[in-house]
Amino acid sequence: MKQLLLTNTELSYVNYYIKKEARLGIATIIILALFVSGLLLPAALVEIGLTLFGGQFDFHSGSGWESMSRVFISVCVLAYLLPLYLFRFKMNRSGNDLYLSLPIERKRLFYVHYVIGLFYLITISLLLLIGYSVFVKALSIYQITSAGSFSYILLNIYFIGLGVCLYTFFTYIVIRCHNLLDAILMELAYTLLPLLFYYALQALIIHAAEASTAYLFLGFDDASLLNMIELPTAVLSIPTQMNLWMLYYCSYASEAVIALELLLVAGLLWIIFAVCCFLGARRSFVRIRSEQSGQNTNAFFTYPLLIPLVSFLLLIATQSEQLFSISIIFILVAYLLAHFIAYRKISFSIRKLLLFFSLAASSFLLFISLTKTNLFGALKEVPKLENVNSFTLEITQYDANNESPQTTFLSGSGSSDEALADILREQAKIRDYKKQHSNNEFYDQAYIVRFQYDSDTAEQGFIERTYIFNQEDREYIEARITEWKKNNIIQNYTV
Amino acid sequence: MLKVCDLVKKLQNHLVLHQLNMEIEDGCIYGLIGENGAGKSTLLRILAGVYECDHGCVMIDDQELHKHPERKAEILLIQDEPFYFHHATLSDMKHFYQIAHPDLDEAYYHKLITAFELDDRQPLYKFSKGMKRQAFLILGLCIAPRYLLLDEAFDGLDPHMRMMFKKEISDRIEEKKMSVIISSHNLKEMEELCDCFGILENGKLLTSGSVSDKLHEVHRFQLAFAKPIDKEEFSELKLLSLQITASIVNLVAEGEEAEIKAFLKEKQPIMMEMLPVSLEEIFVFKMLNKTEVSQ
Repeated sequence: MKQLLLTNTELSYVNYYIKKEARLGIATIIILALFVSGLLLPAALVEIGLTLFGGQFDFHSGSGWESMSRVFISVCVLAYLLPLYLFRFKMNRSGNDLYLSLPIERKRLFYVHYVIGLFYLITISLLLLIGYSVFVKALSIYQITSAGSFSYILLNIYFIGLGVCLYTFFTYIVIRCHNLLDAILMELAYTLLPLLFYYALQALIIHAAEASTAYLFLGFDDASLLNMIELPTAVLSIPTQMNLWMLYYCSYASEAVIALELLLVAGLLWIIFAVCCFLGARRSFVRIRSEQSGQNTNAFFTYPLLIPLVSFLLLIATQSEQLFSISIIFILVAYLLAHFIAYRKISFSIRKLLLFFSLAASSFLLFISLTKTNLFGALKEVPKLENVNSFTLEITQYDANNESPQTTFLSGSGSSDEALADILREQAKIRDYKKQHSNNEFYDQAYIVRFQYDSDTAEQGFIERTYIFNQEDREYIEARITEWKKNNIIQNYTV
Repeated sequence: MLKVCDLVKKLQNHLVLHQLNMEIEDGCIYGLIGENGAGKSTLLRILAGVYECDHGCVMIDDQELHKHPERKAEILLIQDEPFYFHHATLSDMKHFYQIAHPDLDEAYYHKLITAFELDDRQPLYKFSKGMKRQAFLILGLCIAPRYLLLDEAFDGLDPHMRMMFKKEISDRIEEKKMSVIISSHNLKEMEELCDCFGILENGKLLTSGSVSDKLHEVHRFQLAFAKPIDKEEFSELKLLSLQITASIVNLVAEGEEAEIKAFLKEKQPIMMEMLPVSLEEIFVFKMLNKTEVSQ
């Protein structure tokens, strides 16, 4: 019991700290309240920020979720700043002299500072939420039903929990850094890392599929949960999680189930991650030598990991670009610049250059092997026949210069086994042609060929695969349609 | 008693303290002397529990400080550049220190800030360097821990303030029976203030002991001979310094005064005079660790 509860000294310490920072806390609440109410920053800025982070959040839905996302952004800002503020003494020699000479065990000093941060994070978040809820209710800005209110509360609990996970992660990062500049840079780097990871993954999958949009799946039965882009995005991108909550709240049963499944997996992974970060942060706080404060940061999860990792992801993300040879030079410059920031000196060692070129070579090999093997066979563009109940084929023409941009060229559906076998074969042909002739540039005039397969079980939804052809491929598409007609592959289709 | 046993500390692969052993008796003022980079500040940080040693331990009354962090309440470290919170006043810092040292003497605090004319409601960043040191020295004296560690705390104070603080420290030691460990470069001041001292050199304690005993152990002589004399004539003495200019000899030697006098008389000087030796000179001679000869 003694181990769990705070001692008198520790309690006095928490009490003192909270009183000491009361004015700062109030100022923070006022600034964040202005932000939440939309008075501090234009909504567009927030929207740009969320779009950058891979979110698909709809700010114009008018359902009141926008403001809630602002509450969450406030929680994220606090999660980012609080560890810097609370543990900054670790990065200052005289700060260490004061805090570490206190008659408090190091482990418990960590707990005390962590708890103070949690207290601020949760208190300020709740105050903002309650304040905003009262504000919304009082002015009747949005019509929120009782079911909506429940979802609203549930969602906010989820996001405050997520804020706590983020706070714990940033605490770990800050504790591993030896100076304030490195701590800020590392927090920023880790904030941007999911985005980079997402784009690298997207580049890999899209290039492997040779299509501009791709719903990809490992196996038909688990398509909803194991969608290769959606799951990492749901885990890494918080705006996507907001979107999923909106899906859960607004959508039909099947989509709501998918959204909830993704949220549960994402939430569980975040909890496991946060627990690991907490244990890591505590261990580091106890073990890190205080004499390292103010020196260069060299912990594994900081520059030594991030510089090669970010370079590698950038190399992957730009592999499919036509100007890869130029972008590799920019990445090399950024790589060397990052080393300069990390070690505060210019050093061009052969070891560093060798590491970079081995990263470039391995990213090239990985990219080639993944795209040539359809992500080692994980990318199944054609589902198994026995799992498909019915299908739909649609060819539309898209013209960016036309006012009515999308005209249906061919559409129809079928369900017989024979027709299904034919359409699967045709999709394989289309895919192979696309792989040989494709480029992923944006087309002003394009043919969009969409295959959709429906499964036996309604809750699994459908699998969609889209191929985009440009004007040059018009002849090929028309030839295919002629052949389908000739061989009676297409029946009951409107052309 | 504060005891340091076989202490080893490396900073960035540089051995700062090596197999260091020392004992600090309760109620004494211990002067820690050493060149820049000798490891004085590192040692004080280890004693305060800020740094952890690579080997060895710090014991307070036979309890390891590392294993009993609650005993850090008996120690207070005042650095040469003390840390204070952003916009904090002296009064704020007093409240912070009261968390770990609730017995801080409020009456004495008010007496001292009046005597030193410090405004405890003014933010510390507005204080001059010397005023900041005064402020934290006042806190240290008001807390009166069992062991007060002062890292070059008097540097930057004007002579009047130094004198006042020296008096306050002496009075406080008398009253509270606390021990003060001071690191400083001002050896003249240390000689006046300290009961004991230790000279740190290359991470080891070169010499230590009572200041008065040490001053009695080291002797300076000025001698004049009828004809020039060779330095080999004094090789039997434990010399700290030897300067020979023609037939005039200046030497500093360690040992019994009577024995050294008897030895020198045997050399039949035409004049022999004994001169006082300061702690500073002992430090310099010990540091040089060689006999300077000029002929």
